[in-house]
Amino acid sequence: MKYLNYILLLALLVSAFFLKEHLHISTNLASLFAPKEKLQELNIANKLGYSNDILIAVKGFEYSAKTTVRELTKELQKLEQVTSVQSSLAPSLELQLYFKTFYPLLSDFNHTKQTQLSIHQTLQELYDTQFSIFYTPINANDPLGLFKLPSTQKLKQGSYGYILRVKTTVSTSQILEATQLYEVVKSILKPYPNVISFAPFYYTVENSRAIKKDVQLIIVLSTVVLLFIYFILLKNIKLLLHTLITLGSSMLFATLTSTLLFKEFNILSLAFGMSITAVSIDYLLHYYFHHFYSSSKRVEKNVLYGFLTTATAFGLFSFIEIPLIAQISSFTLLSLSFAYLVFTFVFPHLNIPAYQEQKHQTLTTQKISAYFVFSLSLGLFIYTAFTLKLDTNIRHLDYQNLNLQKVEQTFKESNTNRLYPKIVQANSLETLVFHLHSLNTSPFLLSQKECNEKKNILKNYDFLTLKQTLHLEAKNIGYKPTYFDNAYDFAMELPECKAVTVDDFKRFGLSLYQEKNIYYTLALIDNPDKALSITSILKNATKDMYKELMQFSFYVVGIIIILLIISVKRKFIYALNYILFPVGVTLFILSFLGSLNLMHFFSLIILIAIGIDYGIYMANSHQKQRTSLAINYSLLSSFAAFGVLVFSSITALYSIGLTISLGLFFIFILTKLMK
Amino acid sequence: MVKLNMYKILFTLFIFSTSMFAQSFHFQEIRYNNALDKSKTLEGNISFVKNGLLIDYTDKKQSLHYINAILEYTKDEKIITLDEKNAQRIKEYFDILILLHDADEKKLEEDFIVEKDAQTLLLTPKTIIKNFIKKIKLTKEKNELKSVQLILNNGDLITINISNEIS
Repeated sequence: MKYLNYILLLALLVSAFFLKEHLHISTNLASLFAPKEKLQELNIANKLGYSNDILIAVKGFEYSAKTTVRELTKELQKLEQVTSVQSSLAPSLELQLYFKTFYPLLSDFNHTKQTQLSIHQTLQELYDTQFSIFYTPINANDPLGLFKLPSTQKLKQGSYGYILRVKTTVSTSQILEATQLYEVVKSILKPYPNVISFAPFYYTVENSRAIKKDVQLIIVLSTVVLLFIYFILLKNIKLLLHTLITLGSSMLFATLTSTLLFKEFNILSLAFGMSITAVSIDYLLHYYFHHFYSSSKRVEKNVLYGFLTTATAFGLFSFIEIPLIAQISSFTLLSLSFAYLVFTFVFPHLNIPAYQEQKHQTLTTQKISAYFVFSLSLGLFIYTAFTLKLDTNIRHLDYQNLNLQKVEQTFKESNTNRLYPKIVQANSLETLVFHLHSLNTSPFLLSQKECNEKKNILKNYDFLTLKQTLHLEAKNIGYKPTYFDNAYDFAMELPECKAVTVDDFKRFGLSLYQEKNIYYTLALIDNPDKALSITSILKNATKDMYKELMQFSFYVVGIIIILLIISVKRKFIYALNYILFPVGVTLFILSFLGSLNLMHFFSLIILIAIGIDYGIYMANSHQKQRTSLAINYSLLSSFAAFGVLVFSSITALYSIGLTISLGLFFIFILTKLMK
Repeated sequence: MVKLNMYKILFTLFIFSTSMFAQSFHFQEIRYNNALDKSKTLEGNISFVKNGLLIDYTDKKQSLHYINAILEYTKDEKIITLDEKNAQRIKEYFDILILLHDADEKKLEEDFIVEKDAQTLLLTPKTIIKNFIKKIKLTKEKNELKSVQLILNNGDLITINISNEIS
C-alpha cells in the first residue's frame, strides 16, 4: 500500500500514453464564450479566413517605397502559407485580361437610345477637350461613353504609404503555424525599416510569448512560496513529495476524463482547473495538523462535509450553459474528488511522519460576533449590487500589447476604405453571386443568368444605326473620317456566358468554403452594423454569461446553505460567513476599484470553494488553534497557487490574483476575529 | 475593349517622362492627335521634387502638382483637386516614369523590352500599359536626355523636347 500513490500516478501516465490519440485540447477561445448558434458562424468565418490577413504598410509614396512593395510581394508570394498578395498599386494581369474579355458584359451599359443631337453634342465636347492642356485620349471604341465599369472595392491607402494585403492560411487559433509565419514574415521585413505589419494572429504569437514569460515568473514565485511552506514551516520532504504526486495525479485524472467527456475541452479551462486543484491541499493540511494519519479514524467528518459541499457547488456549476464555467467546474469536481480520495484513503498508508507540535503564539484579539459579520457581509452585497459595473469586453482580459495596438491603429487610420466582413451563403455558386450583388459587392463576378440577361440587352440594341450616325456627326465636326470605323464592334462580338466556378472566386481573392452543399463566402460591406463582428458576438455572449452566472450562483448558494445546515447545524451562519464575508468584502473593494470582468467572477467562485471548507472546519472544530493553523498554511498554499497572479501583467491573471488575494486575506482576518 | 481613363494615364506618363530631365527644366510638348489629324504645341517648366512633380504651363497660366499620389490642378490661381478614381492606374504609370527618370536599366527591363543604340533607347511595354502605349523612345545627346516620344496605340504621338535646365 505504501507505493499506491506512485502506482496511481504510473497507471494514469500509462493511460495517458494509450489514450493520447483521443485527447484533444482546444485552443479556440471563442468556443468558450460564444453561444452555440454563433459558434457555427465563427467556425465558418475562420474557415473563410476571417482573421487570416496580414497587412503590410510601406511608408511614403516615393519610388523606393514602390520598389519595396514589389520586392516584398515577390518574397511573400513564395511562402507556402500565403495564398495571395494584393497591393494598392495595381490589379493583377490575370484580372486585367478578364476585364478586357468581359468588358461589355461587366460594364454598366447606358442603353437609352442615342439621338443624332445627343451624339453630336457628345462628340463636340470631346473635340473641344482636345485643345486643353490635359491630354484627353479619345476612346475610338466607345466615344460616347456608353459603357462604364463599376467601381471596385480596392485596397486604398491613407497618408501612411502603400499597403499590401497578404492572404494566408493561418488563423489566430493556430499558435504553432502562426508563430512560424510570424517569424518568417518578420525576417522578410527586417531589412526594411520603413515597413510595418499587422495581423490578428500577431496578438496570438506576441501575447502568448508575453504570457509565457509572465507565467514563468509566477511559477517561480509560486514554487518559492510552496517551498517556504513545506521546508521552513513543516520540515517534511516526504509530505511534499506525496502531495505533489497526488496533485499531479488529480490533474492528470481530471484532464484525461474531461478531454474524453467534452468534445472541445479548452486549454483555458484546463489551466484554471489545474489551479483550482491546489485547493485540495487544505484537506491534507487539515488531516496532517489533526493527526488524522496516525489515528484509527477512517473518515474525518469535517473534511468529508467540506469536500461534499465544494463538490456539490462545482457539480451544480458543471450544468451551467457557459462552456468555460461548465468545463472548469467539471474538471475541478473530478480533480478534487480524486485528491480527496487519495488524501483520505491512500495517505494513511504512506507512513508520513506525524506533525510535531510546535509552540505557536496565540493571537488574542477582540472577537466579533458571527451575526455582525453576517449583517456586514449582507450590507456589502446590497451596496455592491447597486454600484457594480461589468466589463463585457473580453479583449480587456488579454495581455495589453500596446505596441501592436498602436500598429493596428495606424492601419485603421491608413486604410480609408472602411469595409467590414459579412458571411454570405447559398446552395449554389450562381445564387451566391446573386446575394453578393444584392449587397453591392463583387460586381465583377458574373453569374451565368446575369451574363445572359446582359447579352440579350446588348444583342437587342441597334449598334449598326448608332455607328452610322456616329460616322456622319464625327465627319461634320471635323474628326478623321475613318477614326470611328471600329466603334462598338466589341459590343457586337460578345464572349460566351459560363457558369461561375470556384476559380472565378479565387481570381478576385474571394474566399470560398463548402459544407453540406452550402457555399459560404465573405463579402466586404460598408455597414458595420450588418457585418460579422467577433467582438460584438463575444460582448453579447459575455452579457448573457453574467446573467446566467448570477442565476446559477443564487442556486448554488442556496444549496450550500442547505448543506452547511446539515454539516454544521446551528453554526451555519458562522460557517456561511467564510463564504459571504470574503466574497462580500472582495466584491465591494473590486467594485470600488473599477468595473468587474469575467475573471473576477470566476475567482469569486474559487473563493467560495475555499471558503466552504474553512467554514465547516472552523465551525465544527474542537481544537480551534490547530484548525486555524491548518487554515493558515492552507491559505498560504492557496496564495502560492492563485495569489501570486497579482504580480502578473496580464489582466485576466492579475484579476484572479487580486480577487483571490483579497479573499484569502479576509478569510485570514475572519479566523482571527470572528467568535 | 477595356475603356480606361487614358487622359490620366498618359498625363501621368507625361509627368514622369518630363521628370527624368532632372530638377527643373524647360520643355516643349508636341501632341499629334490622330482622331483630328492635327498637332498642338505646349511649353512650360517641370520640377522634379521629392515624391512628385510640379509642372507650370507658362503660356497657359496653368500648373499641375503631383505629390504623394495626389494630383492638383491650378488654373488662374485656383486649386482644383482632381478625383482619385483612377489613382491605382496612375500610380502604376507613375512607376514607369520614375523608372524613366532614374534610367535604371535593370529596373526598366522589369516593365519593358529595352532596345538601345548610341543615341536612343526604345522601350516596349511588357505590362498592362501595352494596351495603351506601343513604344517609348528616349533620345540622348552627350549622355543627356533630349527628347521623349510616346507612341500610343490609338495613333496619337506625344513628343517632349527638353531645351535647357533652369535650376
